[in-house]
Amino acid sequence: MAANKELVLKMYEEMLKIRLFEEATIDVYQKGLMPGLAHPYLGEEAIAVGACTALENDDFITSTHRGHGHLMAKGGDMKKMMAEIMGKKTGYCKGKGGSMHIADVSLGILGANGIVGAGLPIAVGSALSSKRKNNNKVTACFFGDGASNQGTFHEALNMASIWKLPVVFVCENNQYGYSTAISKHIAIENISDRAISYGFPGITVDGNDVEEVYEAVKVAVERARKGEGPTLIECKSYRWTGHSVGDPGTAYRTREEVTENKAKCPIIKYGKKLVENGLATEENLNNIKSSVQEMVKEAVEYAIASPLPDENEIYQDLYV
Amino acid sequence: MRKIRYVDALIEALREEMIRDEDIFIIGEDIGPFGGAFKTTLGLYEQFGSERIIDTPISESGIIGTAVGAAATGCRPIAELMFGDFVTVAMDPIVNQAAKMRYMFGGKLKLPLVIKTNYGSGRSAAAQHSQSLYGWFTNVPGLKVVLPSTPYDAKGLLKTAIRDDNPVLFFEHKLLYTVTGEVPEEEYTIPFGVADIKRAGRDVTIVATGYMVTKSLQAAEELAKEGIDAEVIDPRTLVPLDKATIIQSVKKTGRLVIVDEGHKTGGITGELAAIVVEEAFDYLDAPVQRLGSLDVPVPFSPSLEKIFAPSEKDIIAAVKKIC
Amino acid sequence: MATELIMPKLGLTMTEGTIVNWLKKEGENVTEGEPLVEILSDKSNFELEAPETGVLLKVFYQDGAVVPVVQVIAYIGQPGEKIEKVLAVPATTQDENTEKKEVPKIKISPRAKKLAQEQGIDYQVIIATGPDGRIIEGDVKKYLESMAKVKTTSTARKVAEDMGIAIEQVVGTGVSGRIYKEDVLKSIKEIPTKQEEALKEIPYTGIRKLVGDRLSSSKFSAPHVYFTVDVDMTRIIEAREKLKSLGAKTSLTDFIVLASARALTKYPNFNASLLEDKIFHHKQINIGVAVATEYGLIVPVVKNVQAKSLSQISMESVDLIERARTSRLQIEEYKGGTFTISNLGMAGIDNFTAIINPPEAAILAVSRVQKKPVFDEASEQFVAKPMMTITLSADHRVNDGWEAALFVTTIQKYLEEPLSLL
Repeated sequence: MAANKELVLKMYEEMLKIRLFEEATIDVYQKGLMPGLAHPYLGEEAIAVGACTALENDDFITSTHRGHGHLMAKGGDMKKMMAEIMGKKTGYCKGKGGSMHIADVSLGILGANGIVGAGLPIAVGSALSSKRKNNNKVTACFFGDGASNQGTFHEALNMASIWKLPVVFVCENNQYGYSTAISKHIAIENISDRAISYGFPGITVDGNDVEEVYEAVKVAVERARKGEGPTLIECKSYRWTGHSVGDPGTAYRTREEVTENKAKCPIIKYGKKLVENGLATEENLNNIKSSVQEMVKEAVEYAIASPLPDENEIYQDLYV
Repeated sequence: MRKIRYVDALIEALREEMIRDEDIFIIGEDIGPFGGAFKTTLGLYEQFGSERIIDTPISESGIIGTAVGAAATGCRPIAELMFGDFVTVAMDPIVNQAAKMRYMFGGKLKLPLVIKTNYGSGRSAAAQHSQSLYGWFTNVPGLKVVLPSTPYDAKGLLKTAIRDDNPVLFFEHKLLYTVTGEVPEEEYTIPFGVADIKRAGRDVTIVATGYMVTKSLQAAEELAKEGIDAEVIDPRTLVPLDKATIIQSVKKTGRLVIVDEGHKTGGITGELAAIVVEEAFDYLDAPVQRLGSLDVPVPFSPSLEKIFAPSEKDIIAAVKKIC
Repeated sequence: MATELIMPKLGLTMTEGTIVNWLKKEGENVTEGEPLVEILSDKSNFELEAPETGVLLKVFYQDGAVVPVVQVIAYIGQPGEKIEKVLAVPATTQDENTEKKEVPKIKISPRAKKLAQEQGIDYQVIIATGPDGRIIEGDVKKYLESMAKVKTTSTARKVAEDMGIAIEQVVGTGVSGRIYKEDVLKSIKEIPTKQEEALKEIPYTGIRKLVGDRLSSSKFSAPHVYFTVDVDMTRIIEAREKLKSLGAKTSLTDFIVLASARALTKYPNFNASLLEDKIFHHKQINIGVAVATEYGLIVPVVKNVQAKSLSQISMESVDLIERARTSRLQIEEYKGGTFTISNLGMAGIDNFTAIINPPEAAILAVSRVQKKPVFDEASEQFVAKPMMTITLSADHRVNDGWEAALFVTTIQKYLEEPLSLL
């Protein structure tokens, strides 16, 4: 890993893109430029980037309501994303989906999803499709600690296992289901322990360490491609913000807890590591930051300048 | 023309389509070597194998969700629910996923998916295995809803459903499976949104769905003996709905009786009546009559179940009330 | 706060009142005690007075409105004062437009209605054969066919429609009976119009209904028996003339009232009321005198007749009758009667029977005075005498036939011997 300088800098840049994009999203929301709401991915950047870096371009992912990071890491276009978040005609979904429903099948993104746990069976279907077509594609299924309590989690993991489907279940344990702390909704220490009941491997990794996530997913993807079936990877992380842009996230947890977790920032941590290992200089990192800042700025300007959908588009795209 | 059973017409459609298109597979409970609880896949496993006739765990939400994922990624899955009543366990993948994905994603993908199941009372299967819930899905834009009433329609409509690039809910009546009817050997399909005039008449229009078409045709024969010439229209697909044929018939007869096995309250009969009142009010010569199932869960005992759904007698009475 | 003016309840039977005429307009000043509005109750007219001095702020019901009792009909207060919002109970007005709404709706199917409209047919003339008496398309077609058989010029058809004449009833004078405009015009007098204007509807409400209900109840619950005698009026007429020459104006009715009072003193079973299981003899003799007015029958009551002289009776009667005819009676003036006299002499009636006015026990029907041949015992020949037929209707539950015969002949004697009254 350390040897591939291009790859590590790419991962650093991807994480930074997500970070700055999400900060811009919050800013846009607070300025009243965005209808509805969004669920920021701040603090969890290492999971999306680590996992998607382990995937090929034509592999599939299913995403969640907190999906901006997954989309970005899988190659999503920042401009189209921001335009969609603002309900613009130039957005990924022509303004019909919004933050929670961004999809780009050409990038293998089968959609963010507003229903917690709904992406799990869809990922199984996508994996079944790949197996039927024998096209060697793998599906990474992102879901949260909360979704692991849905019935679909059980149904999907069981079906994926009995059919040995090429799917990697990536559980983002960000410690909270909306306002409910994990200690209140899950009685075991590691969600990955649940894999044993379906008969496939489950491991827990540090979700703040992008390389650790990357390595684990890479192994799981290889296993999947070989037809050995699914893997459950739990990435322990922390949700920096409240549940959504409208939730300050302070009513159910202490400031100390938040500060303590923010100190484990996956981006700062990774930047330090790169400099220490001589893979990058501070200057390199600052240059990356400036270019990403410029990218985000352009995306916001593009989205603001874009038109809203015409009323006559309301019946379009319902049926083929 | 040869006569075959409704269930065999369905299997024939599945077989022909699966031979035609490799991307089609069937997924559901007990559909493999067992051939399905209603023998609706009998013989297909032997021909197509476990890769394309996929037996599943008892996980209805998982079955439909999986089919959605497969449809989104280039397959043409046919998901079977053993009983129509089980749609309740799979509501999210049907209503929030399948129906909405194309629209939410701005037309980015297509979902060539058939959800095939059965419905209807008449077999003492009681409240959780006898419902006629198809009406619910007419209230969810993004889905298509099909109700074949004859072996001919069953085959032609199922082929169209499989070839459609949208999610289609295909509802078969349990009492129709063993009914025989003429089905040509040669290839044919029936387009969606085209109602079929099952019996032409002058005096009254009876719009009937699914199994109620059979009942209405029987009633029409009785009425003919008394000099009332009823026209029986089968919409065949509720979404899309062929309003024009219904309106045209009402314009001719001036009288409308709607017969459906769903509950009367909040069901299809109300929707059809409203359409006619909105679009053909001036042509009505009598109040619209609606017949639906009674507003109670489907009762078990035959003495109760027989009065649950509209009968031939009920249809005759409704017609006579306005003729 | 503004003072509310309500439709007063005047007696147990009153449920609604008619506003006949507002004497003051909205916004006008009113003085306490000043008549504000004329109201017609189920019994009579009365004037509602202003309860306080101020301005008539708001009038909720206009002339002709029928308003339930205790409903607020107006507000009086100081200028500019805000009034409370009143949930007005819809008034049933008696004007023609409202009555039309109450006519049962003709049921016609939308299809039949459309055809009728397209053909320019007034569907009210079409005979309905559909379920629930609904006009259906076939009925319109049948009507059109019958119309098609009538040969007519288009002008004639148009004229007939305008005049509301059923054209198929017009006799045509043209070739093979073709109807011309002239035929239609000629037939106007002969053929009833489509609208059946002859059937004018009069609401059965107010005084009409009250009188009607009371009379039918009386007739059906009290077994009436009738006793008729002819009265020789020679002496009464002489007495009237004498009194007239002395400057005292009396009517025959005044004499009959007095004679009845005297007879009632002797026969208290006719000055009585049967109420549930008891018969009450009234101490006072209060005689109602039926008066026909344009609002219907009003019966003002002359009270305490047993203690009154002929001239007192006469003066009171004149006043009461005059005010009854102009709807100015006070409520108590038509209440409390114990016996009634109905005189249709002025109408030229020879003889009639009257229905007892409950809860009274008898009523006297008085007919006209006319000269009749009467056999004179003394001269043994027929002589012409002014005769008047009176018929007593008695409630047989309260009194016997023999007693009734005595009572009515007593009245006869008093009338034939007026001096005995004095």
